[in-house]
Amino acid sequence: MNKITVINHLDPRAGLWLLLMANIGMFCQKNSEQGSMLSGIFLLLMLVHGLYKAAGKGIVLLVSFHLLLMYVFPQCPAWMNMVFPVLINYSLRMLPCVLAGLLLLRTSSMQKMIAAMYTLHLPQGFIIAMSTTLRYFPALKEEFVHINAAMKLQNISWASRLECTVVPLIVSAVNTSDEIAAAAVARGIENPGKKTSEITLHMGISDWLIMILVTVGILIVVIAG
Amino acid sequence: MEESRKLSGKDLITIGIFSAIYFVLNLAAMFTGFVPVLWLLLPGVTGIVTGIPFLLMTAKVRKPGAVFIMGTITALLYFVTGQFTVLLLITFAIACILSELYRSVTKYDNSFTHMMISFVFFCYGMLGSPLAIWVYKDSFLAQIQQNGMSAEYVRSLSGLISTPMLIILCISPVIGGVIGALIAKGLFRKHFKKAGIV
Repeated sequence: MNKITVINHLDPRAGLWLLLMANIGMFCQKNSEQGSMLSGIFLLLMLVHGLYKAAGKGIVLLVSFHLLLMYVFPQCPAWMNMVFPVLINYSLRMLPCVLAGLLLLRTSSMQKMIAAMYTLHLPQGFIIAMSTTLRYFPALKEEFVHINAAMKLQNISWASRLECTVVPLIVSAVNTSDEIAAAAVARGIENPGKKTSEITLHMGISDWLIMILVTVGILIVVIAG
Repeated sequence: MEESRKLSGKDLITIGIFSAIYFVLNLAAMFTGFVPVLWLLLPGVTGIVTGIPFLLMTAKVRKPGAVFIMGTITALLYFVTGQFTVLLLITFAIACILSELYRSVTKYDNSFTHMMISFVFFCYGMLGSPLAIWVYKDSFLAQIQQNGMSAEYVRSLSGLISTPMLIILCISPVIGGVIGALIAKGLFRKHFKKAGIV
């Protein structure tokens, strides 16, 4: 809460725009300098938003990948080189998008994301399904931990572990979906009217500024390369 | 009749929950992609792993739009975590539409064969991830050469990104999808029928 940040707010819609820009930048990228610059833009944004730890990891990853490509792989035997440089090149290419995604996830809560989906006028049916998915992830994790603990008690062999995990997981998912559906129907999910949200989103000056700056920056990087 | 074809709140929640399971399993399959050969066969691996949630969902929700919503949720989640390229988005959209079309032609029948075929179509969505290597091939190889790799190495690498490999990649969803569907069928018969779920 008392972290020192330059900007402590990013509208999810602005975040989605940045993500789109990162994708476009990645699509138009022709050489590795451009890729590093794109990653640099998003690392800078992370620093501005006070995500120092995540930005630090990103920088370490970026630098070590480049060092590996430049100094380590040319010295390695050929069989190793068949696969790893491809993988690392691919990861480097994806890095701007991963960073942009991380920025969006760290700066906005689930509720804000859902509110953003409503303001973007996505179909209501889709939003209901999507928010169920997002909310179900923690339950899924909890369920998985319980099942694992139960398996430990029973000495289940490795071969049948997968089946013994998946089956109870699915059965509990089916039961949960029935329960949630009953609760949601009781609260009026079938009401065809528009749903309202507790949160009102508004795009601040900083959001617009970041969107414009990043768009211009990516355009410059793409065109200059 | 028109009313019963519309997705109800309960259907949407079912789709949402199975999409969560589908996504987790899909992500798990993605991690096997660290082994490069498996990565080239990613659509197939995904098919094997994700058969159960897809088939169960399509068996429970026999209405238009269910597969499409599931695909869109997966796509959006991948997009937000930044692992989604435009290419993957396109293949996913095409795969979802084909799967939906097949389902509507067969009138959302929940016989095993029909579900399996619509699942195979759905599996083609993951094709976009490894396909990127072929699409970006030239810039990929140029970048590697720029990094100081020998010309010989670049040549052998471009041999790996070859047409036969591409064909294998394109067949993998069919094989993976069928295996995944068979696994799901086995589990349905062994467990879920007894539990009264299907």
